This record gives sequence, structure tokens and C-alpha cells, in this order.
Amino acid sequence: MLENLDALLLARIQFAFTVSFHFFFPSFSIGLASYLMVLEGLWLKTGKSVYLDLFKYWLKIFAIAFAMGVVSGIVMSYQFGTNWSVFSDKAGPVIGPLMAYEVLTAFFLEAGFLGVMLFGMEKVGKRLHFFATFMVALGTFVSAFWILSVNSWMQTPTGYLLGENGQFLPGESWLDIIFNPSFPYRLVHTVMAAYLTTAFVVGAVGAWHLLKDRANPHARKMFSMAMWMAAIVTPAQIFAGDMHGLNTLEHQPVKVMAMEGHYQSHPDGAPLILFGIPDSETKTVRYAIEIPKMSSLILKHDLNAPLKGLDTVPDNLEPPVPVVFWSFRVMVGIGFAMLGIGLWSLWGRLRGTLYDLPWLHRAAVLMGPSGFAAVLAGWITTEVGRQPFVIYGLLRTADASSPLDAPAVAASLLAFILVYFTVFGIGVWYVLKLMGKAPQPGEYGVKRGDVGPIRTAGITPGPTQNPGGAETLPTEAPGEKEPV
Amino acid sequence: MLAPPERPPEGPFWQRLLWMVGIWAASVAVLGAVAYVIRLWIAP
Repeated sequence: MLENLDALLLARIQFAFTVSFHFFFPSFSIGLASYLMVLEGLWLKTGKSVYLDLFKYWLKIFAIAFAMGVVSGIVMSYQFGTNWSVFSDKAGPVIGPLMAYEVLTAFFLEAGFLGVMLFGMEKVGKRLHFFATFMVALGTFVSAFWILSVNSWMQTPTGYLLGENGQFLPGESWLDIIFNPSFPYRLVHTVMAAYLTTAFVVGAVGAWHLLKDRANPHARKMFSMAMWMAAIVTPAQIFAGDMHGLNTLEHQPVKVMAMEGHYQSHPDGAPLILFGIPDSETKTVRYAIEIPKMSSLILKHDLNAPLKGLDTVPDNLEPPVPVVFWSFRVMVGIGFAMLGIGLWSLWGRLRGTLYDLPWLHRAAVLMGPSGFAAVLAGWITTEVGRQPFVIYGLLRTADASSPLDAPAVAASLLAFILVYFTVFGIGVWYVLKLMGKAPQPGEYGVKRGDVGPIRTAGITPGPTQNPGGAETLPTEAPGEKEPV
Repeated sequence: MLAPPERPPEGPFWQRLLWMVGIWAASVAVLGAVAYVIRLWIAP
């Protein structure tokens, strides 16, 4: 088996491995940065200590996730030079500046202000600290903006000129490159996916602690906030995904053929294949369960609209259909499961029983990692679906790699696997350990000595726990309805 | 009854701003060092 592993395949495995590992962290930290900003903003506005406690609780987790995301991201950039030098040489004049903006954002907005977030509360004061938190949240979004612009340009390249040496050069306007046709759709769909990923992690942690103590005010607050996200953002995300799919049909129809499992053309309405086993040898989907004409209705809004299939595409331009077919179904399936949780929570909220539904809490715990699985499945769909091209329709992946020997790529791949599983395994274990502890009143910060407002004797809150000057401690007594 | 302990008052704005710039610069420098070490590891 190993003799079939040439340098190209190993380089592809290496990139797939590192990008999959990397994507876990920003898909969490993009949403978590905004969640922290909301928590700190609510603390400043209302003075309720529950928000400050939650802020400090999630800040520790954010710091670890962010660090792992940045480090694994740096490795990605370097791989463009080591394993994909032909791609870097040809596309560098176009994607280089965009990636540079991403790196500058990561350094000067995210990492710089993260230090202030972690260590600056006592030094810079509350408002400057909130400014730092805002800059980190903004930085994660701007970072996503640039990197998704690069990726989208590789999917739907526009605004470039071809140089005499085969290089892609910027054309008349950078705006045509940055705002290429698939970029707005990909940006919205990916950033909302990141928000949902975070919401379901926060919801799972809240649900976990609710199952242990239904009266825990911190668990109630984070579970409630997460379920609002699930109920509101999931339908919006499904709509955005549908729009993204229509955009893909327009610009990358072969990818949609693979997603739908349409080996054959359908001149009078294509079926929606729900499940089946795609067989690229026989060009059929075996054991297919399908709804007649539904695919035409979804993609063309017409039951009888014709849809071309992979029979119109040469075999050497066909992506690996089974991978795309299944990863797409995993993503969509998780999306609808998220919608189910959101609706269930809405039902519970309307009945006033959001915190008294242990089966909802168990389901929320189970769905905790679902966002990660969905973003990874979605990413696989879009990346494998554009094969065999690295720049769609223009540069084949096979023509983009460095002239390396297989043992060199294999050695670095092995090193990445060992280091990533060790370092990030420890990081993830520590994050789970932190999540396993319930947030406490007066939650400590990143430094052990960095405790929350000092409590006076007894259970009555002291004035410093109530910096906004509210009359009573704004956490709820056991059994009270959560006022959110 | 003892009076509740109070938070120390925040320092002047210029001092807090200086702290922010200092921590910000140190954080950027730390990431720069990490990036350089990884670069040495991957492509010495």
C-alpha cells in the first residue's frame, strides 16, 4: 500500500490533516470572541456579576483555543512554501497580499489585544479592557474575512490577468479579486457556522452543569444564551447555506452534481437523493432513497427543470463523488439536528420549563461537538468538491505541488501527526477539564490571584459584587424563572 | 460591622493607556517569537 503514496498524495494528506486540525480552533474562537464581547458588554451595562463570572470562565478556555488556533495556522502558511511552492509561485501575486492582511490581523489585532484581555483588567480599567475584547472579536472576524476571500478566489477566481510566465497577476481592481462571486456567501455561511459551533459548545457546558444542579445561575444563563442562538441563527444558517448552494450551482456546477450524487443528467426534473452509496465505477448511487423531482425544485425552484449530471463531465475532471456526497449529508443532517434543538428550547422557553427539561439538556450535551463536525464536513464538501483543481478550472492540484521526494513529505507528515496529537491533545484535554468545573460566583481569571469582586461575610452580596449598583444580586434563586 | 472592601480606584487614563500599549506590544512580540521558532522547525 505504501508504495502508492507519492509525494503529491502525501502533501495532500498533510494539508488535509493540518487544515482539519486548525479549523477546529478558529471555528470555536471566532464565536467565542464575540460571546466574550457580549458578556463583558452586558456586565458593563447591567453590572450583573453573573456576566463577569462567565466572562472569566470562558476567557481561560478562549486563551487556550486561540493559542492552538494561531500556532496551527502558522504551520499552514509555511506549508504553502514547503509543499506547494508551484502554487505559491503562480498564485502568490494574487493571494499573497490577502494572506498577509490575514497574518497582520492575527498578530496586531487578535494576539496583541488578547494579551490585554488576559492580563490587563487591573491595569487598563474596565472600558479599555472592553475595547481590547472588542478588538479581539473584530480581529477574528477580519481574519476570517481575508482567509475566506483567498479560499473563495481559489474556488471562483476573478479579477486576475495571466502573466507570460503563467503567473496569476492582479487585474485592474483588487475589489474584483477580494469580492469574487462565491466570497460573500462563503463568508456568511462560515462565520455563522462558527457562531453556531460556539453556541452549541456553550450550550453543552451549560446543560452539563444544569444536569448536575438545575439551580446553578451561571449554567442557566449560558444555556439560555446558547439556546437563543440555536433558535435564531440555525434557521438563518440553513437559509444562507441554501443561497451558498445556489451560488455554487452557478459557478461550480460539477461540485453540486457530486453533492447531489447526480451521475446522470435529468432533462425533466432531478430527484433529491437522501441516502445511498455512490459508486463511481458504475456511475450509479446504489440503494438510493430519493424524492422525485425535489432536487430540481430546490436548485431551480421548478419541479421539471433539467439538471445536468456528471455524465456531461470528463472522468478526469470529476471530484471524488462519495466523499462529497457523504460529507454534504453529514453537514446538512447536523444542521437540521441543531434546528431541532433550537425549536425544542423555544418550546421549553415558552412553557417556562427551559431549565426543567433534562432530556433537552442531555441532547444539548450530545450536540456539544456537533458544530465542529458540521464545519469540518462542510469544509470537506467544498474542498474535495472542487478537485481536481486547486484554482478552479485553471490550475490542477497535481500541478501545484513542490518538487519533493516522498520520504521528505512523509517525514514531516509523521512529525505533524505526532506533535499535533500530543500538543493539541493536551490542550483539548485541559479545555475539557476547565469545562467540567461549573463557573462560580467570583470566578478566578487567568491568574489564580485574579479573583472576582470580593464577597462580604455570609451569602449576602457585597457592593463590589454589584458594580452597576443594582438593588439585588442579579443571579436567580433556585426555581425562579430566568428573565432572559 | 466592617465596611465592605472596595476596588482600588483606576489610575489616570494616560497610565492605563500606556499599560495597554505595553501589554499589546509584548503580546505581539511573543507571537512573533513563536512564529520564528516554528519557521526554524519547519524550514531551518
